[in-house]
This record gives sequence, structure tokens and C-alpha cells, in this order.
Amino acid sequence: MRSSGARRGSALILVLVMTLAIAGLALSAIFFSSSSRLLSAAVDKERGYRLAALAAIEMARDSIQRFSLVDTIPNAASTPMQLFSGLQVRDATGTVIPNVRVNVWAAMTGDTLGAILPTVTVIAQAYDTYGVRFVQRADLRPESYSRFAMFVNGNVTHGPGVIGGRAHANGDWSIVNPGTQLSNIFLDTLSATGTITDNGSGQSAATFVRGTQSGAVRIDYPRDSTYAWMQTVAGLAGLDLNLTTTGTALGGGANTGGSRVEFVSFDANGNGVSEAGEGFLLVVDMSPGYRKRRGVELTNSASAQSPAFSTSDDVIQHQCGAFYRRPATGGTFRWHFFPVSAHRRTAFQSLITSTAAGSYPQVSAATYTTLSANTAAAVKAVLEQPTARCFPAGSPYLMPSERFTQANTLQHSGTTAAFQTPWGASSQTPSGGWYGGADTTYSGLLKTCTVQTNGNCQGGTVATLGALRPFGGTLGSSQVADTAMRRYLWPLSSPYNGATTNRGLVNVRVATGDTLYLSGTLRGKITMRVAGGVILPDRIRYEVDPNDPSVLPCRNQLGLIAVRDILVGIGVPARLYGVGSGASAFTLRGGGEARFTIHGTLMSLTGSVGVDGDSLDFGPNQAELSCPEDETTIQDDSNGGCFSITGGLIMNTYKPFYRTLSGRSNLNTNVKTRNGMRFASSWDRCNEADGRPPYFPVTTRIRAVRSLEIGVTRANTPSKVQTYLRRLLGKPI
Amino acid sequence: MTLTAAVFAITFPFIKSQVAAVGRGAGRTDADQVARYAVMMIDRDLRRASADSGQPLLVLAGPRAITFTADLVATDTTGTDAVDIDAGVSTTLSTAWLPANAATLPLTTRSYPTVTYRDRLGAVSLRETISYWLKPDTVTGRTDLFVLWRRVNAGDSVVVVRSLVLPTDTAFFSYQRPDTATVGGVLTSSLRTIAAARLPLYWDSVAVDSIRSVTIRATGRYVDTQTREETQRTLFGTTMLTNAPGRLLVGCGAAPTAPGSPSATLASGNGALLEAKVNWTASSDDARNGGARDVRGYVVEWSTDGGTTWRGLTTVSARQQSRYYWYHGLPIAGTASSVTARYRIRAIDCGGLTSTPTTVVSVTF
Repeated sequence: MRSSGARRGSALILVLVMTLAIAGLALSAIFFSSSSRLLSAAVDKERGYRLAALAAIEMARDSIQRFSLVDTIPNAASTPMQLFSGLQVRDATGTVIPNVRVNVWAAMTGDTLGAILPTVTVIAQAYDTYGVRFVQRADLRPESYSRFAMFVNGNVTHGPGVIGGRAHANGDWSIVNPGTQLSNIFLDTLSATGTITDNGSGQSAATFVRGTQSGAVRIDYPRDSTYAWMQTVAGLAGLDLNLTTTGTALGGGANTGGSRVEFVSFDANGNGVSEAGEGFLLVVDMSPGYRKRRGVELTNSASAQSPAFSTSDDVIQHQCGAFYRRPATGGTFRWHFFPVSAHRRTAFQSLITSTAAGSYPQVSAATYTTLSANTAAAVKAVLEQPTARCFPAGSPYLMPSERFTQANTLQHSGTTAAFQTPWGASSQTPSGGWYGGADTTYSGLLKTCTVQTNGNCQGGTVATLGALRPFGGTLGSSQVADTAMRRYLWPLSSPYNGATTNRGLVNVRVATGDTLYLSGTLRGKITMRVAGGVILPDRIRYEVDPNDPSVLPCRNQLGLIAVRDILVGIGVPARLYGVGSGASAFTLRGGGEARFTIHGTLMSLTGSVGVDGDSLDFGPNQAELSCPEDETTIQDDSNGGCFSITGGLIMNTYKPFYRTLSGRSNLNTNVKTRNGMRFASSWDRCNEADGRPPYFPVTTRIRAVRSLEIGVTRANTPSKVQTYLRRLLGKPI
Repeated sequence: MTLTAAVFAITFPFIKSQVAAVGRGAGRTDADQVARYAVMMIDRDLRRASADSGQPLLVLAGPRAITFTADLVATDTTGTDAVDIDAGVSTTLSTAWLPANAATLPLTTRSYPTVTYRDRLGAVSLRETISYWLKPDTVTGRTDLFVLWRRVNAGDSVVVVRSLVLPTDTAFFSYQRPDTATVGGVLTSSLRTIAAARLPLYWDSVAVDSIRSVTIRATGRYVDTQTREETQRTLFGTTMLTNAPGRLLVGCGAAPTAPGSPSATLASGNGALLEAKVNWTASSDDARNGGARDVRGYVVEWSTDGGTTWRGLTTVSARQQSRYYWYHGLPIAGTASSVTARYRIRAIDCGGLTSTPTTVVSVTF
């Protein structure tokens, strides 16, 4: 028999076992519970590091924008700027997040060639006492002024019309009441630091596709001194044009100061394709007696309220005319341009007169008699041809009136006084058949004279009008195939521009108070800085419409930065004018279109961008043209045509495109506009891209373009951060 | 003995309940870990999503599969966007997925990629394509149990986690895109979930570009081996796509309706210009006419070879007109005796989709 003490010991052991089991279970429960909490804590901790780094990057972005640090952040080749060191990040309640601190660095990275917007790369390290736990990188990009369809560094009173992109004013923006049939439409956001006032209501109220923002943050406007460096860079490619000094005379020792620049798009290698490098400049130096008019402006137009230009103006006689499609060899046809004066030369009679099938416009013998008379009615008849237009002096189309040859020969090297006879004068013997001007018939030396009734020069009146300035930079190995043209075409980019440092910048120096006359067809991407004002005598277009959906956006880009105004000239024949008087009065449509088309971003640092003579009454009463893009069912015609911009207008001071004149027009009731030019703005797809004209100015605003997580070991020390940032320099971001 | 039995009798239910409690706790933790691990893995990759120009950020947005682009790893320091560098990784797993290795996207019949995506310098993109998808767990025989898989480009598929519960007709992934409302004349935006019926969306659809965040609904499961009691825990995780396209493609739906009544005339009479005056009536989706109100412009196309080849001329901005006009300055060039210019017009919406063209109109000069 066992003792009771032994039984008690057994129970005690059992109880102890049970107690231990229960304790084990309790511990297990505690362990599982704490394991779950630890798991959650670990996840929360990691999230905390990540959010701290992201928050620090947002704070860095705010600082860069608030204090305009873009210009002071160093290139990544140097030591990066440390924006924050040991920063404590607070949560939404303002409480410091414990045990987490952040370091933040910034440097300029990415593209260094100016074609793409610059990039600021910010790197944030989140760390605790055990070291760096999380690294986040953000790429920030300043906003280019080319992003804006209209930017004004002051107050604006504008409308009606469509603004095809982003618009901003550092001031108040007042929208003109458009009346019941016209409208104000903003296809992107309209912002203003002051108030935005829509003077229309109901049906006349403006449409804002992407809203408005009053009281917006001011965007500081730049000064010219910021861009003085462009002159040096442009000079490296032979594209620093000094138009303040006398150039090299090509004939007769003429004093040929700089005058005018024209963009030329030319199939230089003749392969039938317009390639990126086939963009050129033509620089025309006008002789002293013609500098004031630059070979483009009609006389006596500047101050008259209703100027009626004379049909005998030599710009009209020599630079305005008409195209004719005429039979050529082999069953083909050829287009010829004949200025008004050339219609009177008998040598061209057989070409102009044609009723053959395929000829356009057809001209009968009787009609030729009308066209070739030395009368105002004849000028009217020529310039009412559907193919009529005017060209600035130096245009290859003006060969019949500006190219002079040696008598009885067709030699036209044109460097001596012996060449006294205009092309096509009847005294010459044609060797290869007469022909009119074409896009390749350049003349190096431009001459002019007082024309007689028969189209020939009066004795002793021959004078040098000007000359094309040859390119002084380095030509590339792929030179222009046409040797006659080669020397006059200033290549904007490789392969025809042989400079290895070509950055797409053109600098133009003009005399103090002077202006550059700029027009033409651009191929390529350039930014032109002009140390004065700019007058637009004719259209500036890209070689294809920037909104042509079959080509990539930003195929061509023009950034024009002028210190003073950029304006459509008053007396330029490419605007619509009343010419002549009485029965011979007609509308001069020197550009061949009602639209005065501008492709590009035009920026005036101290003045305005728009139309000169906005209050002058130019067009005749009965020959109004509808401003294209508008509905012609409403009476919104304009005698002045349309200022049609695809791109941006960036200006210091707003200038109206037209004014309402009492008794002449009243926009609110949609009657015709008889002054200035109607405004039409088109959407440019390039505005939505990150590209910009080379080195075009950027605003003080920046935006985040990308946020990337970096492996901790790649950037957990200052030296690794610097190494990492350097690797981004010159890389596309 | 009596005392011992009494102690056991008293403590056994307690111990049993404690064991059950510990089991449930372990089950909840296990289920929680399953769900959390699934969410974390996807979130960690997804928040690194980025793409080169022209490369889709989101390739596939499906209810039970997602495929996206991200630069997770590079083999050397030239991959400046990569999260990490690992020299030992195969180039097929550290650079863009190439058409030569194309394969069907998970749970779809669509093959990807169809083109070689490149960076701005023209080199093959260094960004990989990552896929996550759910497939039924065939081991258990249950239809609501799934396995989460992961794949980089067309590499091997790897199991991420098992024991995910997903009832029939329930989405694992949901997607949010901006939606707008005009409040007090001001356009305001908010994120709204895309209806499951609209999924999946593919890289070549416009709508996928509008996705700004992805929400994952993961339910982990644990079964007690003794009691066969099942524990489930559900977690939600939302990842913002910080590198999603900046362009707000609000309201860009199907292709717009075609404009109508085209007309082209050559100006005539004294002083007429050598221009073709082309005009047409607005699409019914033009804001002028109501409809989808997403027409951004009108593309004018022309042909000079009888309509065999067409090329664009310009895009005329939509401006809420009933009829649009465009004047084409006819080219003074060439050697032909006459030119017949044919025109047709398409509407284009904010997402870049174009309508069918209008009928063809022409002028001869």
C-alpha cells in the first residue's frame, strides 16, 4: 500500500505539469500576438521611412519653387546642393515622426544641350540610428515659357477669340464681351495673379475648357541680361549676326549694312525629302538708300488713318506680281513668277500669254494687253490674279526684277557695274529661253532702277538695292549641291553647319533702337535672340504645319526672344491694304492669304508681341475677308485679315491686335473690323511636350515628372549620392 | 486521485479553450501574413512603375492580373533609373521585353510586346515588364482558393504566396482614374474606381493611360489542422502610380463621331486667292452639340493622287462652332498640268482617337 504522501506528490507533479502547460500556452499566445504586432509595426515603420522621404521631396520642391532656386542649383558635375540635413518630418497633425530624419540633395542633371527642358534631380534619404533605411529620387522639371499660348507680365484686356493653350497674366485679365455671335474660348487653363473678369454673360460668356485660376502665384519675368551668353554660344556656330556694322560689299563697293533675315527651307541634297538639317538663313544687306524700307515696306503708310498706297510704289512694281503655270519641255509644266514691272517686258510676253490646256491662270492676248499697260488698272489686274503675292527684296522669285545681266548676254555674276540690264530686258538675246522667278533663282547682288513704260530701266537710274550676305562660318562636309546658292545659305544645323558646338542658337545684333526684319519658312529647331526689336514683314512658318497629324510634334521649333517689340509691320505688303484710288482701287493681298500665319513662340522681354498700327484703318470697305477659322455665316469679316498664331505670345506688356473705332466697327454687334488684325490662336501639340526651342527661357515654376525608388546601398552616403547624380548628367531624363 | 481528477476536470476546458485561442491567434496571424505579404510584394514593385516615352506604364489592368513596366534592376551603373544593380541578372530580365520573346499576358489571349520600346537615345529600354496574377490552387480542389504568381518579362513564373481566398466574381485588383465634375463653374477632379465590367484594359487602349492608382483586396486563409476551423483576414492596399502619364485624359472614351457635310471650293473672281475653302459641320461629340463633348479638334487630310494616299494637313481646334472653316493655301509647285486636291475630315478626341472620315470633296486648279 502506498503512502498518502506519495499520492500527494503525484498530484503535485500533475499540477505542475498542467501549470507549465498553461504557462506555455499563455506564452505562445503572447508570442503570436506580439508577432502579429511586430509584423504590423515593421510594415508601418517601412511605410514611415518611405513617406518621410516622399514628404521631404515635396518640401524640397516647394523650396526650389518658392525661393527660385533653379538658377542656383549646381550642375551635377559639381557638389550637389544639400537642401535639408537631419530634417525631422511632421505628420498631418504637426507631430514630429519619431526616430526618422531625412537628408535631401539636389543637382541639375539630364540634358545639357538645351533641347529638352533642364532637370533638377532631388534625392532624399530617410534614416534612423541604424543608418539609411530608404532612398527616394524625384526628377523635377522647370516649365518653359514656350508652354504658354499667351503670357503677359501685366494686365490684359483681350478678346474675342480662341486662345489655343495655357494663358497667364501677372495682373488682371479682362475678357472683352464678344457679342452674341462671336465667342471667347480658352482651350487650356487661364490664370492671373489678379482677377479674371468675363465681360460677357449668358450666351456671350467665355468658355473655359480647363478652368480658371484667379489669384495665381506670380511668375517672375526674365531680363535680357539673363541670356547674354547666347551670343557666345551662337558665335561658335557662325550664327552670331552682327547687323550693326558695314558688311562686305559684293558689287560697286556699296555700303551694305545688315537689314533683314529670312528663314529658308531647302532640299539641299536634292533627295526629295525635307530633312532636319536643311534649314537655312538668308541675310539680306540693304544699301543705305533702301535700308529704311528694308526692301519690304510700302511708303507713306506709317501715319495715315486710311492710307491708299500708290500703284507706282517700287515695292509694288518690282516685288509684287503673280505666278503662272506654263507648258515646259517634255509635256511638263513650270511655275514662273513675274513682278508687275516684268509684265511690260516683251521678252516675257510669250510666256505670260497662254490659253493652252493646263495653263493657270490663263491669259489671252487681250488680257495681256491689259496686264502689260503702264497704268494703275494694269497693276490692279496683275495683283487680282489668284496667284498674286509680294516678296521681300532678295527673294529668288524676284529674279526678273532684281537680277541684272550684261547686255546681250545672260551672264549674271553681278559683281561689276557692267551688269546694267534687268533680266528679261528686250535688248538681250535669250540663249536658253526666258523664264520667271523660282525658288532657286537666287541673285547675289540685288539691283533696281526706275522702270520705263516698256519695262526697261531709264538710263542712269540703275542702283544697288542690296546684296545677300555670304555665310562666314564653317560649312559641313555635306554642302549644298547648288553652287550658286551655297554661299548665301546660312546653315542652321549639321550636316551643313560644320561647327561641332552648334546648339541651335542664333544671335542677332542690331544697332541701338534698330529692328530686325524677320520672315520665312523654318526647318529645324532654333532659338533666335535679337538685341533690339523685330518687325515681321511676312509670315513665319514651319515647313510643315505644326499640327499636321502625320508628323511628330515639335518637328520644327522657333523661339524668338527680342529685347523690344515683336510686331507685324505697318507698311508691309503681306498685310491687307487698300491700293490705288477710284476704279483702280483694290485690296493688296501681298501674302496670298488672308491669314498672317506665325508658327513659333515669340517673346518680348520689355515690350509687346502683336500688330503694329492696330488702330489704323487699312482695308477698303467692300473687300473684307473672313477671318479664317471663324464661321463665315456671321459678320466677323476683317479688312485687316487675321493674326494667326500657332505657338505662343510671351510679352511684358499687352498690346491690342485691333481696336474698336466709333462709327467703323463694333465688335459687340459683330460688324466688320476695319483696323488692326483679328486674332486667331491654334493649338500647338508641342505645347504639351517636354521639348522647347533650344535653351528657351524657363519660368520659376517646376513640376515633378518622375519619382523613383533607389536601392539603399546605391545612395546611402554623401559621396554615393554625388556619384549617382553625376551619372545622370547628359542622360535623357 | 479525486483531487487530481478534479483539477483536470476544472483545468481541461480552460486549457482547451486556451489552445483554441492560441490556434485562432496563430491562424489570424498566418492569414494576416498571407494577405499582407501579397499586398506588400505587389505594392513594392508597383510603386516603382515608370516608363520611357511611348512605353506603356500599365500593360494590363485586369481584375485578377496586372502587368506593368518598371526598372527594378540593372546589370551595371548605366541603368540610372534602376532600383538596384545586380551584375548577375540575365539581360532578358534586366531590359525591356522584346517582341522576339513575346508571350501572352497572364489570364488573357493578348500577346505582348508587339514593338521594341526604346529610350530617348534610341537604345532598348532598360525597363522590365512585371506581371502578377492569380490562378486557382488546384491542390485543394476549392474554386475560391488562389495562388499569386509573379513573372518578369517572359521569364519563369514564380509563386509569391498561396492560400488567397477570392470569391467568385470578386476582383483582386481594382483601378481608379480621375473623374470630373463642374462645381461652381470650376472643373474639379476626384478618383473613381473603374467598373469591373470594363476590365481588362490593355496597353493599346486609351483608358489605361488614365489610371492613377491600383487597389489590391487580399484575403489570406488559415485552416487549423486539428479543428479544420478556417480563419480569413482581408487587407486592402492602394498604390498610387506616381509616374502615371501627366496628361489628364478625362472623358476620353470611344472614338468620336464623324463630322458631316464637307465642302471644298476654289475661290474665284477678281482678287480671289489660290486657296481651297474647306468646311464641315461639327461632330455630334463636339461640345457644341453635346454628345461626349471630348472632341479636341478636326484633322484635315488631303490627297493629290486620286485618293490613293492621304496625308494630314492640319488639326483645326474645336471651338464649339456648328460649322468649321479652314483655308488651304494651294501649293504653287510641281510640273503637272493641273492638280485635283481631295479633302476629307476626321474628328479627334482628347485621347487621340479619330473618327471615321467624312466623304471626300475636291477642287481642281
